[in-house]
Amino acid sequence: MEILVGIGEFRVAKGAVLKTVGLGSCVGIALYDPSVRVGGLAHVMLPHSSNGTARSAKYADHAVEMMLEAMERAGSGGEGIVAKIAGGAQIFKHMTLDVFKIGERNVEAIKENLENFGIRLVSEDVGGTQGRTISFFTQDGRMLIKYTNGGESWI
Amino acid sequence: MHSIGDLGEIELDALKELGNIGVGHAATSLSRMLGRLVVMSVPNVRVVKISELHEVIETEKIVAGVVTALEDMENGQAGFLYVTFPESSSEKVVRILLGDSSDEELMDSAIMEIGNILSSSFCDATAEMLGIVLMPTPPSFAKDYSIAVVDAVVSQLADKSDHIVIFETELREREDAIEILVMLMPSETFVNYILKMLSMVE
Repeated sequence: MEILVGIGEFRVAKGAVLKTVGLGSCVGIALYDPSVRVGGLAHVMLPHSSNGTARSAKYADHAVEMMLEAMERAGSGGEGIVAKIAGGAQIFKHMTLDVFKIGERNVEAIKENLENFGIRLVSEDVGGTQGRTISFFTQDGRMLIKYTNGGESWI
Repeated sequence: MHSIGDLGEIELDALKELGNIGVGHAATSLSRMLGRLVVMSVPNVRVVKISELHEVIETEKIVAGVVTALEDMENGQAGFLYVTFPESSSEKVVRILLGDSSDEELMDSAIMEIGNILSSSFCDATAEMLGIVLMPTPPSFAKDYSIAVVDAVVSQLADKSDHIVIFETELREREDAIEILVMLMPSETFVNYILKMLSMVE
């Protein structure tokens, strides 16, 4: 079964494939508990929530927190959870807006975030100039990345 | 005041009218530039939840897109305008314009220029209708998945709003359809202008 994760959303599953499409500067964060084979995938847009913002998976910090809670409900004990991230590209070649340089900053902030939660980042595929579509296999924790130019890689 | 997420039918019609005028001006500019008659379709206006964007635009389609930021003279950032051409459309437009679409770099800059002209005229027309002054920034260009091209600007708006406005429209040159998607992503300021205009319509 394949479950689509929308922009700014997250899903947690056991056994299913979680997929998110067309990541540009956005970052896909996958969390995985190998002991119970429960995994989550979030398509985050912003690295930090600010004071008083409603809890939403569009922010990386909230997304990680919400996924951890949902994974706990799905049977994870919270120990030994690892992360994989992909995205944070700079898509624009001809660029006049600073807005388009946020990919790299997103990735840095997300790494700090994971560290704050005490989650180990086991692999990543970030940066570059191409969009990515990712599929996260919650059965075994593998992540398949497809690039705009037709290339693929597993992390 | 209601939010852009819960507009009724009358308000959506008024919004469609706004898009219509914007797109009409854009089509006129394109006709002039191509030296041929370009006919436009009445745009379909949708207010879309950001999390459901992938259901509305073909996310894995590769598009050439031009993004312009809109600056309102009085209140700063007004939002973004995004003009995208699916690969087949961009080739058609460039072939009409240059007679040849083999030089990729030339093609990219031609698309960027067309996107720039379309967004400027769209911007002028809507600003006039709303009674404001909007200045478009120079265009930024990219070719990628339709979502990847736009997620950086959607992210900027996502902090304040969960919805964006999309004008879907098609420009037609003779029998050859040139599909172009024009997306207006208003910031909070711009949304307030739109809502104010709509309240005058009611």
